[in-house]
Amino acid sequence: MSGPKNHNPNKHSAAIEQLAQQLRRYERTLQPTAGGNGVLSTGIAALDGLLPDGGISRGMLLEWLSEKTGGGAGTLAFTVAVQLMRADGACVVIDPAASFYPPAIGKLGDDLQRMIVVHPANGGDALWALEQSLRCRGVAVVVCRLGQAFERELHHHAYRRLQLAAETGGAIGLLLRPARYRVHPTWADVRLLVEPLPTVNSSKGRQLQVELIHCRGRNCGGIVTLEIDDETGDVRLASGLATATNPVRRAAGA
Amino acid sequence: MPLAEAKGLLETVSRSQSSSGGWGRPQEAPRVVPTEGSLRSTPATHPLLIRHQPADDIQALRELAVRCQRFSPVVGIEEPDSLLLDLTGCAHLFGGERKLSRQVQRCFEQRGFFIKTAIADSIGAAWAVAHFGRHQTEIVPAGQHESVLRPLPVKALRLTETVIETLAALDIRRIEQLLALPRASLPSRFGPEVIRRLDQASGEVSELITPIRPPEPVVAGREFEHPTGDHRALEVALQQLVEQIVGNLVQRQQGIQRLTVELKGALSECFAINFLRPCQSLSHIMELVLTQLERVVLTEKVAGLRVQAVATALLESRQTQLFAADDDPVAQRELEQLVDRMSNRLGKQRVVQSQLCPDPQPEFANRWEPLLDENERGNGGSVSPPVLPCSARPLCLQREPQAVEVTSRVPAGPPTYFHWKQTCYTVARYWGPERIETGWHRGRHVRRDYYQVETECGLRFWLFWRIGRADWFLHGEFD
Repeated sequence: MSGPKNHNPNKHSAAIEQLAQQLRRYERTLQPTAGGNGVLSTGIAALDGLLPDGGISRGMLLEWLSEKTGGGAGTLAFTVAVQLMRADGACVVIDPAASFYPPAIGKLGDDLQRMIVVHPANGGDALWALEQSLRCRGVAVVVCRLGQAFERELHHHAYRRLQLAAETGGAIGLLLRPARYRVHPTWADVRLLVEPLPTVNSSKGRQLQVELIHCRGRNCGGIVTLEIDDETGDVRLASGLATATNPVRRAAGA
Repeated sequence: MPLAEAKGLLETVSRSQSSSGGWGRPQEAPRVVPTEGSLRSTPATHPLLIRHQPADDIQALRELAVRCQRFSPVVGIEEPDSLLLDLTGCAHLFGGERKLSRQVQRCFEQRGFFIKTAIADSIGAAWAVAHFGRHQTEIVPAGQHESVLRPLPVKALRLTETVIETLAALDIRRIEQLLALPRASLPSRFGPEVIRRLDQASGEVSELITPIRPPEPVVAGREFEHPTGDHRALEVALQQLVEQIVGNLVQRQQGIQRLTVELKGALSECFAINFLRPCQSLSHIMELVLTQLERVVLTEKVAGLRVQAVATALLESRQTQLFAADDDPVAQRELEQLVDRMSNRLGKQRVVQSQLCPDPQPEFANRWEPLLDENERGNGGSVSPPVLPCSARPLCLQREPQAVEVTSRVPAGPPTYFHWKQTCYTVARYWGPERIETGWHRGRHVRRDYYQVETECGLRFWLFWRIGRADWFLHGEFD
């Protein structure tokens, strides 16, 4: 048997992408509390370009994976959280390890008063607080480090509950997780892998490589290299580097 | 200084474990004030600046008046800063006026207040001597108040500023000068106020104390015919009791701020629920009550229930919002309910807000303040910390600095290798040192050289070398 005649791969992929976009729009209209079809910017143009629809919609869950603490994923997540908080309301930080140190984001100024920090005693309480915060319409963004305290608690059903809570309340969940979870299934809409790059020049500015490794209802695989300004904390596309069109394939769990 | 401010200042001073250096003399006339000693110590200990709320002052004064009812059944207030006690027939119960006065002094000192007391035949004389007398405790013998009042300034008569200015323009500064003027001419010269105040001070015109009564407790209770351990039955009974309390408060236009629930039995269980804002919402109150009830392990059957609204407040205060006033009110209310829910389930110390402090020692540059305890919060008036570059402090700070093994090429120099969490890291770059040093007066002397290090794989950590001890610690991660 021969293949179909007039097969055009470009036309085929364009049609799939168009259908995927329609599906996403349809899914978003089903979300009861999503604020219209408004997409919020992360405040980082390069990151917006990497995300579906050019930003973050209300009710989305984003996972930020990094190999080890100290890799810069938290800084990126909080930069996005500050932007979303300024645009939309309060921010809740669930921090079971009680290690979050607000002077690191001192540029918040008065906005720090819009940030509620929760120090749960155990994983069960942390998961409950996370779900309650995502379900609350007064909360714009929830930042949570899914570390050891969550390992037992965050099973498949619990994660699904988080997703439903976010869809109901409309809060955006930014979840920081170790990179070993990249092989685990997720209910998050977007999964980003953040890897620090060694500093190459004399400046103290930090470079991070962000790879989109999972995106619900869309092909993934984009990579951007971001640079964090030492003085202002602003994040921008690293100079001389552009979005990679053909990302290097990685082995699972690598 | 307003009472609320004084109280906050005193709490700050005691929190920061400052040595206040003993009680000094007050600065001016107020009867319930922080001491000069405590004020002097504050610049070194980052005072908490609280916006002046006159209504809070009056409320605090009323609460103090209620507490003073152990000394007299009739206690009133004279705004802005005085308490009036009718001691008729009371002094002998305490062993005489002097002993009574001493007990009142001790009572206030234990609460952190410096006060001046005066006992006299009339309210006016007692007020004048308390404000302008030379001693902390003054007792004017019966019938001698006129001679005591004579040398005092005219301000001691509780006159308005306008009258005092008029008198000052005529160089009448003491009461004896005023008494020397023909009495009949006083009303025409200065208005009726002067003669009224003079008569009140001399006791010729009676003055009444309006007693402050403690608010009636809002309580609802129920005894069961047969003790029960059924949670469903308890829920139904609690719902009825809470409805009763809310109905009572609706009439008073008040909301609950703190509610206690007692489960009576052989082993009585009691739990409390706190609210961020005065609350009248039955569904929200019941949600929190049931959440707490679920956590109670009943070892005995419950014979009865008692629900009490321990603290209530007028609903007007609902208008003050947790965050910005332009937020959606529905979302705002949901956010407040979320804070209530989390604080009551997890504990109010676990739901907090950050208060940045201008303290060089990283452990003290941030203070966590419970959201549910608004009295402990700074109301946004704290002293601003110095502005640091964004990358100067790590996002994750260890609760205690963790000792690490570090290898340096140069003794006391920048680190080359270090071990952390069973991994050996090679330092590719470092920035520093940043010297952080605190004074001996804070207790433990801190002298540290901080290095921000980047490993070969790009991870960044915050290490410090303890000067004089030759050991290294990891204090944070730039995540």
